[in-house]
Amino acid sequence: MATRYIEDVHEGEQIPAYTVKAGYMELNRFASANEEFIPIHMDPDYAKNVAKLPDVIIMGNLKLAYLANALERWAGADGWIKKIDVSYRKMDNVNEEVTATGVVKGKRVEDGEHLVDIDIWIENGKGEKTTPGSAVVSLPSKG
Amino acid sequence: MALVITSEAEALVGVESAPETTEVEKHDIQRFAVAVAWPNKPNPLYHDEEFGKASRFGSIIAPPTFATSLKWLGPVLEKVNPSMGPYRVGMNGGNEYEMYLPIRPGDVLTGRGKLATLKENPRDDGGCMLIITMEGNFTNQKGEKVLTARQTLLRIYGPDQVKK
Repeated sequence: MATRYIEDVHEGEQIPAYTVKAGYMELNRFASANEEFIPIHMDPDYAKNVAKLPDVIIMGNLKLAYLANALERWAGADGWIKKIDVSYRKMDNVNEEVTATGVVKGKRVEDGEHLVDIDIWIENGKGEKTTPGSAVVSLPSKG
Repeated sequence: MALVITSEAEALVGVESAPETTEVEKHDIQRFAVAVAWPNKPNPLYHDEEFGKASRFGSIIAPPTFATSLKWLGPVLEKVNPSMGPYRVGMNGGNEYEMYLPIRPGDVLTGRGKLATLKENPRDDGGCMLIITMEGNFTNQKGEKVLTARQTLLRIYGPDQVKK
């Protein structure tokens, strides 16, 4: 993984999309790793008939992890995600494609650290932002 | 008059719960790394020990959102829930994590959680939406601050579940 320097970053820059079609394989693996065994994330009968949802829904915590994947791929080997903050506004169903992406809002220096403020979000197949949020990433400087 | 929030629950705002300790095992980190990357290959920094040794961290570290697997909400909710009564459905409203230091295999993390805010909004059907926010602060075995977690939980109470 290459290094991204603060000097390479410009406002308005897009965080390359990280897209996953999250099926039961993805949800169940994450349920196990995150110890998150909740019926609306694993049981279609419960999701549809008891919780009255259209289908099993993707865990918010998994969507958060996809956002971190998108950020760390962009940030490179010497980046550090200092802060990540999301709101789960709309549900995303199992077997649907979700895309984690973002756009650079600005750069600043704080306590000698070079920080990038980024708007992040999960987008569904219809282009709706289901999970908006923000992140702060620290990057090395060439200077 | 409050619809669902009780004075007992309100009195818990800002009160720290009993600490929860988690020993972070290497395999837990690796399994988490595989799960968040699937169907792609895991990032070797979280999975491949040789790669980790050669990295600036000197070992594999936990993925950025590994904190979602740390249990700290339980002790907070155990105290909040009893006075609050049943609700129709609960949802994750949002997460926020501030990461100060990497988490490494063998780290012993202590999380101290507290109820931050309680808010209720009436709904058109006569029920209400309860918004619970909590904050957890984690230190490692050296007493260093590792991360702060903030969690928003949403609970929908039906018209039959609120105070009349």
